Amino acid sequence: MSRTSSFLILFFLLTCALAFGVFMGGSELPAGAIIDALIHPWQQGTIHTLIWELRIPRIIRAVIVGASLAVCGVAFQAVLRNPLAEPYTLGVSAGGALGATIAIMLGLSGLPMVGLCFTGCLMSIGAVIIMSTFRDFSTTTIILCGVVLSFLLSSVVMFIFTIATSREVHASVLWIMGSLGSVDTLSTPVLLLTVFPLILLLSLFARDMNLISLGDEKAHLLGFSPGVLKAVLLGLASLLTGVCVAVSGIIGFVGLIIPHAMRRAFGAEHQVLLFASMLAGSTFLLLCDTLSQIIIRPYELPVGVITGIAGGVFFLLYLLKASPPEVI
Amino acid sequence: MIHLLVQDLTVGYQDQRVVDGVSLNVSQGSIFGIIGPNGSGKTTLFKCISGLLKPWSGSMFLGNEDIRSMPKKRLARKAAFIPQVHSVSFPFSVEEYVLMGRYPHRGRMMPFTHEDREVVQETLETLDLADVRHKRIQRLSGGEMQRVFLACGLAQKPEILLMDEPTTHLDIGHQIRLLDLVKDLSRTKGLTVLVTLHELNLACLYCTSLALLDHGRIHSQGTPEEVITRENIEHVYRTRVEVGKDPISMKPHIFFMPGLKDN
Amino acid sequence: MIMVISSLFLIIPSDSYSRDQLPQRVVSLAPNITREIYDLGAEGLLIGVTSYTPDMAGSTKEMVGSPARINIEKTYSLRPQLVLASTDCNSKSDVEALKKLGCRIHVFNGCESFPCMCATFKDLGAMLGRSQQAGEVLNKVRAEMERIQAKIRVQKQLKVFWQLGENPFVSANDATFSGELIRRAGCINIFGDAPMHYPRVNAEEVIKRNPDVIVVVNQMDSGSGHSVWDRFDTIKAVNDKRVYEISANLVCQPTPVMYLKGYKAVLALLYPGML
Repeated sequence: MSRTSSFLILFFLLTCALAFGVFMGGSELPAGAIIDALIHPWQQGTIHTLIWELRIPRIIRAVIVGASLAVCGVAFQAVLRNPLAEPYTLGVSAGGALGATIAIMLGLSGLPMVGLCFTGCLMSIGAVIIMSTFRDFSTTTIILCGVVLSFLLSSVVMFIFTIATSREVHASVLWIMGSLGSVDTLSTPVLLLTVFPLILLLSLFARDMNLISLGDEKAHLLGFSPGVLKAVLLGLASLLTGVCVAVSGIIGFVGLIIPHAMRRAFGAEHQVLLFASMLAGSTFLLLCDTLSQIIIRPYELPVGVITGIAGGVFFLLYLLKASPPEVI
Repeated sequence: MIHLLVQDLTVGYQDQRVVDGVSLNVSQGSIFGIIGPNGSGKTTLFKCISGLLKPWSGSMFLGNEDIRSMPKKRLARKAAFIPQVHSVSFPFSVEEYVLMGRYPHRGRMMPFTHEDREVVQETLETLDLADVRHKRIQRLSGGEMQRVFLACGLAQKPEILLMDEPTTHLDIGHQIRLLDLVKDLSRTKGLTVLVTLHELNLACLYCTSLALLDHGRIHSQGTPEEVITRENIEHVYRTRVEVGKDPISMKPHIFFMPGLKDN
Repeated sequence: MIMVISSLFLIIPSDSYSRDQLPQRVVSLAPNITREIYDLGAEGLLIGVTSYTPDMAGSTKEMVGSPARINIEKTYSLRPQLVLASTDCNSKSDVEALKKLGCRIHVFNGCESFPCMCATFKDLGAMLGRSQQAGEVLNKVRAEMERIQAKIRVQKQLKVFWQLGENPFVSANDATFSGELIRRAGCINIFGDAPMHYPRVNAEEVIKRNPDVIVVVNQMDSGSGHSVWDRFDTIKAVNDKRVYEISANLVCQPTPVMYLKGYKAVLALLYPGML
């Protein structure tokens, strides 16, 4: 199958997912009314509000977060040279969870909470980079520091759980499970503004990702500085992950499966891989989010549950297909 | 004309000195072989020249330029280093991998030019890889893979090619083919080659100059005839040998003597 | 040797007492039970409480840990004659551990409804020899409730969205504490029919079901006046400016006295000026 046709298929799937998301949402709406609302965006009415103020922003968030997490997954897997790496390997999620838990204890919500989460994410990745630099900035060191920090921060979160009320614990756990359903006006524009330049920047480093995935030596020998490269890529990818976590909690599997699947289909050339992963990531998360809204409509399942199950099933099938391993 | 000049190079790991005051003169267009037993410092020397290790003292010049102060990209445009160990964790295709050899010539955001594509095409053809260009590297045989790594280096269009033990893991047929290819490139394109080799007889056949390393020091340097002597080999490798002449190539040839103990 | 071994097996139980004798040394493992003991005027019997108990108990009683994690040794060392626990907030393993050590422990089932709370309160009163006080308190509370119910009957029935969380939105169904509160207030809980106790609800559905009042239960003691719903003026509650915030502390305490207090607070929001 040629690359072009593969891309066409991806675009087609994304379009289907978008249509699915628009026509299927948290509440049952007649298709005709939906189409009417889409064609006449300036009119008033309940259905218009639902579509334009709730459904479409949520779809946009799903698309953005899905693309971002997939791109981060690609970047992390390249830098850590490990197809099992994912955006949360280095403890970014633990930092975000800590920030969110603290925010909940302080009674914050909305933008201040998002800010606190993001700060948590930033601090955790900063800590990993600083700790790794003290030793050597090798891949193994980075992974070790990340895992250690992850455990440390998770322990702090659990400690907070023991002194918090059950209500606060419940709220934290719900946040950790992830949700794209936030209703405040600022989250979607903030997401767009921060994500767009980050993804653009990461895409510019496609060649660097090719090299760094082949090892520090190879990067060195072709004239690149692996240390700087790793720090920059990790920094950018972690920022991007942090933004997503701050806005929508911890949604797992997207950053792991999508790069994997796309690499099988498109190969490891990162320019192509990044773009394909963006498309596939958006489609996947959008589908999962829509499903999470309709399975027990009008009640929701956490989107992380759907991505987890879908991801798990996908992985099982992938493993059972018994093709030669892509990893040496 | 001296292409690569190494003067009094000393380098090691932590507090262990591995290369001790090594000096080399590599002439333009020559095939310079570095030989020596395990642990003599061949790979460390190689890593130091390629910029992967910082020398403790001494200097290295490529042409007239000091290698240590050369910007990395510039060095990559002039010299291609092909290390012994390659890890390819991801399914790059042969063509994608070879194309990476062009990175030192293009800025991060600059797309590849027609020239780049031509260089890659030419390299693939020269190394007989055109048929497998779309195949994923991990699916190749050992011999093909070695050629791919070489192709990536050649795609850099270097003045000097440095190879660390390129014939390990290859059968004799592949070894000969690879070295023939290198010799041909050296002859037709004036490519200078610095190669570390395990197999002494191959080194004699292909190298125009040799340097014999012993515990990080140059034991002897010169033509194969000068370096490959019974005394030198016995001293450095601590095994009994006889050195004769290969009747076909008229180059020195080492005859091994299994079973005889060192006296 | 045998003496040593057998003494190891000898677990001296806390002072046992006959059913006729009332306990003089009581440890409460649940904040709501602690509250109820104070309501019964029986705080003199209390020798140990957990964290999260209201300030009344804080300084004078021994602390035996947090409700979810009881300090077993501390509890045992106080030599209580009766330990009171609740399935709501105490862990089964803690209860079992204390039982194994020979403590007399009574576990109350968690209550989600007012009648259940009253029954529990009555039983607690009997256990501590305060049946009379229990009766008095309950009568007072019930009388007040009836007085209020009468007033409600003439009020218009409102559709209420009871919001317990923001991202994601969480509500409560009719079978919960909050659900019962709303029902007693004569109102309709728009998510009362949800299959689970605390459903995650979709924002679209909230708009569709168009509540008359939105009550946001959070940490705030007073409303900030703004909420995420502000821009959705198709919702009647938003249009009428009837989106309120109420503190979780007021409406999540399962004791009869606190229930009444919370109930009145909610009614003050739903029907301002009625009481």
